[in-house]
Order: sequence, then structure tokens, then C-alpha cells
Amino acid sequence: MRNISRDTNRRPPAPSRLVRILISAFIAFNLFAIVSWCVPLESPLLSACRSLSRPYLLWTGLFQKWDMFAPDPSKLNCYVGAQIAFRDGRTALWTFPRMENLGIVDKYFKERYRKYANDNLRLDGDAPAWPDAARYIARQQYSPSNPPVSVNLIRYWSLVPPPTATGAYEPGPWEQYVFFRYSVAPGDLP
Amino acid sequence: MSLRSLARAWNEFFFEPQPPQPVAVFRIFYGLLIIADLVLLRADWQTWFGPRALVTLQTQRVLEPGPRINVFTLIPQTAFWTDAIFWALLASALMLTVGFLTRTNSIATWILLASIHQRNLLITNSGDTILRATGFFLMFAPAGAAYSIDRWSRRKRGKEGAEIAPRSPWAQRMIQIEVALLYLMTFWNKSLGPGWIDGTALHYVNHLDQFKRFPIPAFFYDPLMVAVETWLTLAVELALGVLVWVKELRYKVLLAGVILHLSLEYTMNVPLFQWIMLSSFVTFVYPADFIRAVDWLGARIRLQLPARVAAPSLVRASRGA
Repeated sequence: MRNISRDTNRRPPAPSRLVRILISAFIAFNLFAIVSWCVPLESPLLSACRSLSRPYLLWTGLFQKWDMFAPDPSKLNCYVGAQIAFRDGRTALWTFPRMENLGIVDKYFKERYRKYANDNLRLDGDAPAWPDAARYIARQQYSPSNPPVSVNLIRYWSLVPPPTATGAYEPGPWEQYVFFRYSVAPGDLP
Repeated sequence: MSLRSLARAWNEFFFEPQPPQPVAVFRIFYGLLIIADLVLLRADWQTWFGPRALVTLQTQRVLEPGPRINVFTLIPQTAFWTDAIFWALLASALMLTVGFLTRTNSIATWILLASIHQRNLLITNSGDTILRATGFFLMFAPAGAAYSIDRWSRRKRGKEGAEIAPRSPWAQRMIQIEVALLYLMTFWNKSLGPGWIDGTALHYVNHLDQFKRFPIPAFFYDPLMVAVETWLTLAVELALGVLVWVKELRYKVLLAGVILHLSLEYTMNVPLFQWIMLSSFVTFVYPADFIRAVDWLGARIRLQLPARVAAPSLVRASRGA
């Protein structure tokens, strides 16, 4: 193997004891903050630790939760769409891009829509995002001669049934539910 | 075990100088991944981050309150300035990739990346989170000490010799810890779910249409196979979280990780996540092995080149040896 450092006279100086102590404190604090935030346990002590580290983690963006397909994967095929009503009384159905309907390349480019709509927008916890979504859809469907007057956001879902002994699979029926009704105001449109 | 021996072990792990080549290569992968991410986002940039986005800045603040690093809060909410952030991030990621003003660009890249994530957290995924976390520690790493314009420039000005000096690896260690923690916590969270224990979890994953990419051979849907796949996934994630620290097992564990991520890349549409994780594996390669591999690769490339091109390289290599 090559001698990886022979010209030691040009080696950067090793950190001093004080610098090592300061870096060690930084490392220890980050480990404490990150681990206490993402460990899947609940206790009064952990809650106190999280409260302590919360401002730092939120500000830096180091908050993290590693729960991909955990504790159990979703048992729902789902997507989010909308029913748009226009001034002349016509209605139209619209959906965010659905990965299952896209080609290989488009799936790469449009996957954020799946994350946005299927993992977040459809949940009640993200209700503050619903008006923005409705306004966006109204603008997508805008026509000066026949503008949209209302947008209803709809969840669609189909259960993935439990496995059978033979591995045969029959998906559950599709169901739907209007979870948000929005009246479009003139200022919402282009 | 004494406090003194603990302190010695801590110092050795975080501060004993190591060749910086692995973290320099990680820097290149990292920059390329950010560029790829930007390319994927470009067509919908205004849809996600613009003044009339699917999630406006005001809504994002309601959803996730509190002070955060987010340059969108400092600029006018216009399409022009939203685009400006795209181009600034692209430029800094390009310069980070080639190692030009590496430290400055690692900071700029991280701030801008954190900003686009904080601007719209409803579209971020685990890949974004690990990019943000590893990018944070990359700012402190000697990422421009090798394979960079910065090093080329320093050598040209006589400020550095032919050999790359070892550096304190604490920032690289933090990147390694972040990656291992991701796997360990994922394993832990999954171990709390009945489906991962009874071996049915991947039955549900395999039937989530939104994630499907290429077709999976029918026998992989057999309940016994599904159970084996489920438990193997758990085992590899646990190994990547824990056994990756055992010297004798590291490369075997990383190989299992490579197989896991490539199989996921084939079966599932989770853009960039698998490549982000695979790129992070380079930080686990022992520097001596890394340098040996680079030397071997360099020799192979020189052998393939015509003599008049290879000769000067060989002369330089023999001088530096």
C-alpha cells in the first residue's frame, strides 16, 4: 500500500486539547439530541430530553424519525382527487398524478405528488393544507369563460386484504369520501 | 473499564487522523445526488415552493411552527426569487461536487437544501432527511482534501505535497453514526409491528400499487417467500445498524445492504433513496482498503489507455510513490 502521508511537515495541525473538548461537547450534544428524538420509546425523561433538544433540531433540520413501513406497512392503496364544479353547472373529476398510472421515467419525476397527497394531504392532521390544495386545483382548471366555483377534495382508498395460504390476491373495492369542500373566491384564480 | 480508557477510545474513534479520501468521495456522491434531486424537482419547482404553491409558506408555518433555517422566509415571495433559490442550490451543489471552495459550498448547499425541505415538509421523505443530516456533518468534514479543485489548486501553489495528509475524522464518524442510526431505528420501529414479526409485512408492501416499479416474479408472492423476505429485511437493517461496526463483518454487512437496496430499487419507486443510502456506504470503507482500491483502479485505467496518454501518468505516479 502507498505511504499515505510522508510529507508530514505539511500535515494540518492536530486539533488542540481545547478544540477536541469543544468538538466532543458538540458531538455529545448532537448524539443526545438526535437519539432522544428518534428512539421509539416514550417516557417522562425522554419527553424532557426532546423538549430540551426540540428548538435546536427544528432550527437545524436535524429532526428525524426512521419509521419507513413501520411499525406496520400501510394496508391501503389510496389517492387523492377532486370534484370541481364550474359556473355553468358542469362538474369534472381531477386527481393528483397517480404513480400506478405513470411510466417508469415519470414515476421518478412525479413521486413527490404521491408523498404529498397520499401520505400527507389526505390526513386530518394536515387539514391546514387543504385550502391551498383546493385553490391550486381551481387554478389548474381555470378558464376565463367558465371558472370553477367550488372544489371538493376526495380520498379514494382500497384495502389490501391479508395474505391467503395460496398467495392468491384480490384487492378490496375502491371507496371514496369527500373530506373538504371549498368555495372558490375570485382572488384565488389567476 | 476506566474513565481514562473510555476517553482514549473516544479520542481514537473521533480524532485519530484518518485519510480523508472516503469522505471526499462521499462529497462527490452527495453533490451529484443533490443535482439529481434538483433535476427531478425542476418541472414542479413553482408548484412545490412558489408563491402560489400547493403548500404556501404561510400554511407551512401553521403546519410546522417554530424558528427554522429557511431562506424562503428572507426573500420576497415571488416566482423569480423562488427560481433564484433553485439556481443557487444547483450552482453550490455543482461546486461542491467538483470540490471548488468546498467548505463554503458545503455550507451553502446545506442551508439551501434545509430551506427547500423546511419550505415544504409535506413532500419530504426519508432520503431528504438523511441528506440533510449527513450534509450537516459534511460541512465540518475535510471533504475538499482529496479529489477536488481545491486540492489541485493548493498543490499548484505549492501548499500541499503529492500525498494527502490524514485528518481528524470526527465529522465522517458522525455521518457513519447517522447512517447506522437510521437502520437501527428503522429495525426498532419495525420490530414493534406485528406484520414484521409474523412475516406478512412485505405482503402489504408488495401490493401497494403506488410503489410498484418493475414486475416481481410470481414466486416472490408465495407466503413462505414473503415471510423470508420480511425477516431478511429486518436482519439486514439490524446488521447495518449494529454489526457494521464490527471490523470483520463490515464488508459482508455492506454487501448485504447493497443487495437490499438494489432489490428495492428494482421493485419500488422511491426515487433516489436507495442511491442516497448506497452512497453513504463509502464512508464505511476502511481508508487503507479505499486507497488500495483506487490504486488498483488507476492502474487498470492506465493499462487501458494508449501508451502516449498513459506514460505521463505513470511517470507522475512513480514520482509520488
